[in-house]
Amino acid sequence: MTRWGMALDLERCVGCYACSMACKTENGTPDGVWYAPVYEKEVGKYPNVKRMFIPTLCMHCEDAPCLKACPTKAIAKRTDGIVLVDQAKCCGTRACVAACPYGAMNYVHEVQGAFGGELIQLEKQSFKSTAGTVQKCTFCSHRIDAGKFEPACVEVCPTKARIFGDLEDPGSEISRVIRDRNGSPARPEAGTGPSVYYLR
Amino acid sequence: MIQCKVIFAGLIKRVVGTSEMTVTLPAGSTLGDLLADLTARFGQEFEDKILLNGDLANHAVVMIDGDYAREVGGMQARLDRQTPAQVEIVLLGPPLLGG
Amino acid sequence: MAVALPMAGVTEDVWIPTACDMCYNGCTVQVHRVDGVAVKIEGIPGVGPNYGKTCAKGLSALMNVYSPNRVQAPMVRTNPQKGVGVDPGWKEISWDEALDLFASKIKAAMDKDPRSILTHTFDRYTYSVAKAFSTAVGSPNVTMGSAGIFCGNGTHPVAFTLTASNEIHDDLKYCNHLLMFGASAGFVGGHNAMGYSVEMQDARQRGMKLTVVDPVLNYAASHADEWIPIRPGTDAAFALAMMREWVIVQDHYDKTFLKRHTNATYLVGADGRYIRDKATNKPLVGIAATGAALPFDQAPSDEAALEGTFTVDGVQATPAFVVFKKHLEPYTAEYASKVTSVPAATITRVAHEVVEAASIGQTIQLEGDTYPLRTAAISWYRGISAHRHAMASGMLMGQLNMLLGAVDVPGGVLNSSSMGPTWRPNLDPDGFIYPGNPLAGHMKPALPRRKVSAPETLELQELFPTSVYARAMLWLGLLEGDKFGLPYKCEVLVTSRGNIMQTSGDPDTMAKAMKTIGFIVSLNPFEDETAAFADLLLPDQHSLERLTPLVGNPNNFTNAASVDESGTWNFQQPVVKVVEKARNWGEVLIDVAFRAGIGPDMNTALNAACHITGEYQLKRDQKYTWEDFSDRWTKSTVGADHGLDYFRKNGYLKDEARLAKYAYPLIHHGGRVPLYLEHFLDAGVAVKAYTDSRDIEWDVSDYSAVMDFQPCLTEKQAPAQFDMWLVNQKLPFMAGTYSAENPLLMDLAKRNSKVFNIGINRATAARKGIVDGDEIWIETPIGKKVKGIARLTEGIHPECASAPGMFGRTTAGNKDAIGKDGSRGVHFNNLVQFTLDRMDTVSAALDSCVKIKISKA
Repeated sequence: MTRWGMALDLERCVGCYACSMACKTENGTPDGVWYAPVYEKEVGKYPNVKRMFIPTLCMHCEDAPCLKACPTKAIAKRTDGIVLVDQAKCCGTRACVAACPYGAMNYVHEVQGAFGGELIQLEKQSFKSTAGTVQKCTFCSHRIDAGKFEPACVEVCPTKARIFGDLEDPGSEISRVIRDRNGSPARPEAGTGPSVYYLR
Repeated sequence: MIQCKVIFAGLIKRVVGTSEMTVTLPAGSTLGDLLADLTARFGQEFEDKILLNGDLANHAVVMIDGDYAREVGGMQARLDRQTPAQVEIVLLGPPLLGG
Repeated sequence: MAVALPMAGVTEDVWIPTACDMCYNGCTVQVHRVDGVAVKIEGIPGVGPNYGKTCAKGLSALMNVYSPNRVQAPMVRTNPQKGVGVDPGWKEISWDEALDLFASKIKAAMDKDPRSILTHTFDRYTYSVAKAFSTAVGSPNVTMGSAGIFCGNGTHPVAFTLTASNEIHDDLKYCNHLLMFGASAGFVGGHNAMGYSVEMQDARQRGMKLTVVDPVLNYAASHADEWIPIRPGTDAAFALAMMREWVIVQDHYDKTFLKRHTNATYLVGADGRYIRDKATNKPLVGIAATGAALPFDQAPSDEAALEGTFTVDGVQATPAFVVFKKHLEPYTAEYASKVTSVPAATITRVAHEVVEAASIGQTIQLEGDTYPLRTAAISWYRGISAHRHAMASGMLMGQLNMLLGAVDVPGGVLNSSSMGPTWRPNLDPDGFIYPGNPLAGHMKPALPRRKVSAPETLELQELFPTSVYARAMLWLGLLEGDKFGLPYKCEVLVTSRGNIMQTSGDPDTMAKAMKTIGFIVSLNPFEDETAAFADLLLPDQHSLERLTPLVGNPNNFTNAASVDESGTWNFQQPVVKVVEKARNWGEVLIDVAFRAGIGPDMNTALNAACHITGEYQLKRDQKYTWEDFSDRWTKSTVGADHGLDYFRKNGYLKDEARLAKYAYPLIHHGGRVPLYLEHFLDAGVAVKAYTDSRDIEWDVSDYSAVMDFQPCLTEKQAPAQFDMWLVNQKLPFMAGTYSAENPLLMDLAKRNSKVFNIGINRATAARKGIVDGDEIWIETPIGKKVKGIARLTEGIHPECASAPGMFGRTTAGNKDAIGKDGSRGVHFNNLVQFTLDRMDTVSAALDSCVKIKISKA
């Protein structure tokens, strides 16, 4: 059985935001909604200081708290481990937003365009949002299902800071790097079994 | 004798005061001979604009019957390849790249 | 590519290859178009120059295309008053009316003095058309990029000096230690931002060490093995101390390189000039074993002396290297430490690490030839150029590479602007290389030596005989041209795809300069600060609407410099329907030329500027469509099989892999590079003679054969309470002013605390009682004062405050870019003093060293 996962290499990420933007344009998210933000953190004291760039996204947890919290069963985990929100079933209780330890759930109050006012032609065509629902990273399941394999954020990264693959396959690149570099999830204490690992 | 139709474009036009003229040169003349002839007519400013250290300056483009002079012998390029020869002398603006 | 995939309910679903235009680099991309609407941009897997990668700017370009803020139609000014914040009173007119007006102004200016027409653009690809237009009208005034702040003043002249190419590229394939000054190359910044980032990560994973010297913990420094914070404007002292360490203390540098490939052995007399052979006029070198002096090209290079004294015809002479070495003496690490604030031990340690890593003496076999292998290099860019002594600082960066022997060899700095068989370097009479590529043939390298003459250009280029351009002097030519003997005033400015009001120094000065111009035409997709001074505003096309041949052109500009890498040809093709009445500015200029009655000269000039050859040349008496012209230009450049049809179908063309002899030409071209800048001496004398003749105070102290450190004037003049420097920093997701028109990029910017806020060292802020998020005043010694918001950080030199370059907007299509009280950043250039005494009279760089005081608002 396949279980899709991602490894984020903090040694390689240079904070260029290409992934955030690739995700946004691939998934047609409304104004202000970014599934894949990158955060920055300074480490150390002048002059011995570095800046870390920390890419984030939905962790597609094995034991997804969002799924458990949803009263309308709008969130489901596919057999390949991808956790998805069905916007047709979501009625916006936001229980999942509170439950997610990673802040990955975005409640869309209103589907607004980037220029304010009316949606522009491009947004009308590419937005996949419904007002009053929750949206989040899908691991670009539509790309995977279409045989494109890599999520948009992975495909675009100029520094190969994102590795996508099958966590169940011990021979996959992702399994290898997690093993070799002792990759670990963010906030393991949450105990949700994330499919996203960080390489530090 | 070689008949040369000379066309001037760009900044050089102001120096020579015309956009086109015909020059007659002895048989066997080269581009260098033509430019010397033109310098004699139009003065040192003409040479200063076109030549650097006796060779075509970077920004001076000379076409002989449509061929770039630099690629057909430079100052030694012959002018008797067609009759009359058509020589276009273009003085281009400054450099290309850089932000 | 571009194959329709019929799906239920969808009439069109295609991917169309084209080239990006969100910055300077022209990456190859593909655009997903569904039912006539472009919905997504991606790279094409593996395709260069970006290796299939696209940055945040390029990915978001559709927001610029579909922006409701675009200029919709030609407009003419009705309010004669011009200025920032003054409503021009735009009145819509037809294209016909607009172009007739445009052409009538061109004709009138040509009648007065054709040189009074100035054409400007920052469109790298269609620049040749601007150049042709300027040529056709008979003007030498065509300019590119900014009008004040440039990154290349201290880079291009050095690149020409080292490699006869206007750009250099570090050979990340073999380099083991890269020392980077004032740049973010390889971290989604600089030229070929994406391609270089791919190469950088590969090199870093391979174990290449990276040391970054910069006042700010920039994107490169964030990831470097070591960040060395330095006081602004002092890199030259750091470089000199490193060289002193190598040459005087350790005696560890590449002597073979100096002997074979530089003028270090050329004999010079007491006046610093070469001692020349009486018969051939060639510079002489001294032979150590015999004491004889021979013309440099008649002596075995390895036997020529770097040191010692020779007597030539009774005159004492020494190798130039003796002078070079002597001038390094005062630059001890202790001295440099005082100037730079970098500990002396750090400077000497870095010097040791770099020269050790260079593997001087080692060689590598490639394609049957033996090449020197120099596995350390020095990289630099805008940070070095941003100073009054930019030429000196840049040349010192070049000289660091020369002492390592790391020039055009594996692991060193490589020629990158002109590659492959068309590179054709020539040799000047003294043995130095200079570019011979017909596409780079219109450049102005310092060699062969240029003459100084009375200025005929608005940028006073004639007074900059060793610089590649003098664009930052435009304001001076506009305001005080007569003082310099300029025989005319600017009557018409044609400006496209650039924002010179925002990219100049102090906009108040630039506004005065703009107001001297009789008529300004702005071809622009958005109403920006420059458009606010225009008399005629014409809607320009977005790159996804237009046809632009030869965007990627490896013979002209490429950074795929290493061996086995390939240059990529690409182009821009219309992907979406043109919005409203926008037109391609290049096509507009050709149209205007014909309306002004100079069509034949425009065709001749297009041939010359684009180097169109043979059957593809434009005939003087015909008018060609933009498409026909583009096809001719493309076929003439890439070959008959690779016209527009080829590119429409395939999008791009990968060049042959770069052979070692082109990537590493040093051992092949037989030329030398000047370590000792003898040609600067006479250049300085000539400049001084001219400026003296007009009673103009003009600093010629940097016209020296050996480069020294000089502090910038700001440092010397600012009163003590101005105890900090304002520096600017780059961001990988913002470029120029164009990205502020994009709401997605602006949203990213708002989410990043480095963009609109002022970075201040935490300890410094504590001393001044400033906490994170405080509103602060930033004030300069000449009374410029702006409000900003403090961001406390450990990642900045304690004497500095930092702001990105392009914010604090006053006019933009996107009103969200215009903030109050620093909420959308401060305009860095607004604080840069735009006066002659702040400019490098050698490279024409504008000093960005700004002394400030900060206080809580």
